[in-house]
Amino acid sequence: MATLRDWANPFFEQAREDLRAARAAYTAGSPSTFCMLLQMTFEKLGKAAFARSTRDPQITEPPHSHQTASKLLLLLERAPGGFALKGVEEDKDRGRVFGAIRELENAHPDTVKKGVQGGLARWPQLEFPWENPSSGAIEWPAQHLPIARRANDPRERIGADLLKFADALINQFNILFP
Amino acid sequence: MNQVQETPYLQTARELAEAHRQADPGTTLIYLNPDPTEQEIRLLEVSSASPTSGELYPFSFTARPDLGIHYPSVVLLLSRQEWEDLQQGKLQLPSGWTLNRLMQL
Repeated sequence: MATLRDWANPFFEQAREDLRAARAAYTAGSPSTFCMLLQMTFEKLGKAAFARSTRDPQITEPPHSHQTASKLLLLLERAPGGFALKGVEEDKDRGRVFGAIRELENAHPDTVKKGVQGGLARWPQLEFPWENPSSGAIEWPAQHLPIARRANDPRERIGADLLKFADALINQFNILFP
Repeated sequence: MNQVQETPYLQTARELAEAHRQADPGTTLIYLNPDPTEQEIRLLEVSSASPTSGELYPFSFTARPDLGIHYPSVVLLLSRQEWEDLQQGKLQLPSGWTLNRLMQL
């Protein structure tokens, strides 16, 4: 029977693979696919971190939530001595990156679906087209997803910032989550 | 009048709680789930910034004697909705955590 910790390295390795693909999508000028792969990267890194850092023998699987990364970031802010990730010490940089990660999570199709079921307005999402509730037009991520548009805007730096943040998490993972 | 002396364990728990409030201003509640052996500081925290997943995972930190933190700590971070669900019995605390033993910090 696998333990929670047994899940950590496989999730971590798959996150690395997702990040390599995200970088390739970024270079190829496919911002919506880049965003989808980055969301997958951060979600898996979050699950790997919880698998390493939760020591409860009754919990044997990582969280199933797609919002593990934003929870992980809130926990990293609580590390004794302050935010633990080296290279992103500036509050304003972290705020921008955290906001973008939250935006990616909120655009996950399952998160959007739950929001719609909960009575929230329909929301642009990763991966699949959606119906714009105002115009009735069918829109799609490559053209209409706000964060993908920003990642493709040369005046914005968010794509590079997210890649740098993901790199830092991966490079420092074994130190942060022994 | 005698003044009650706080143990180093409780002092450290308060220091961590204060640091967490400063790091995350969305933190609305912090409770200590006292470890009877005072080996580990267990904090249950409620933050308006936390997403609601309904999955409660205690997250461990090692001690940092270099910073004066001589105890390992564990944070159980909840959204406001998860906190309400917990109080209504819709969610269960992980093993070793007990609602009726929580001490507000």
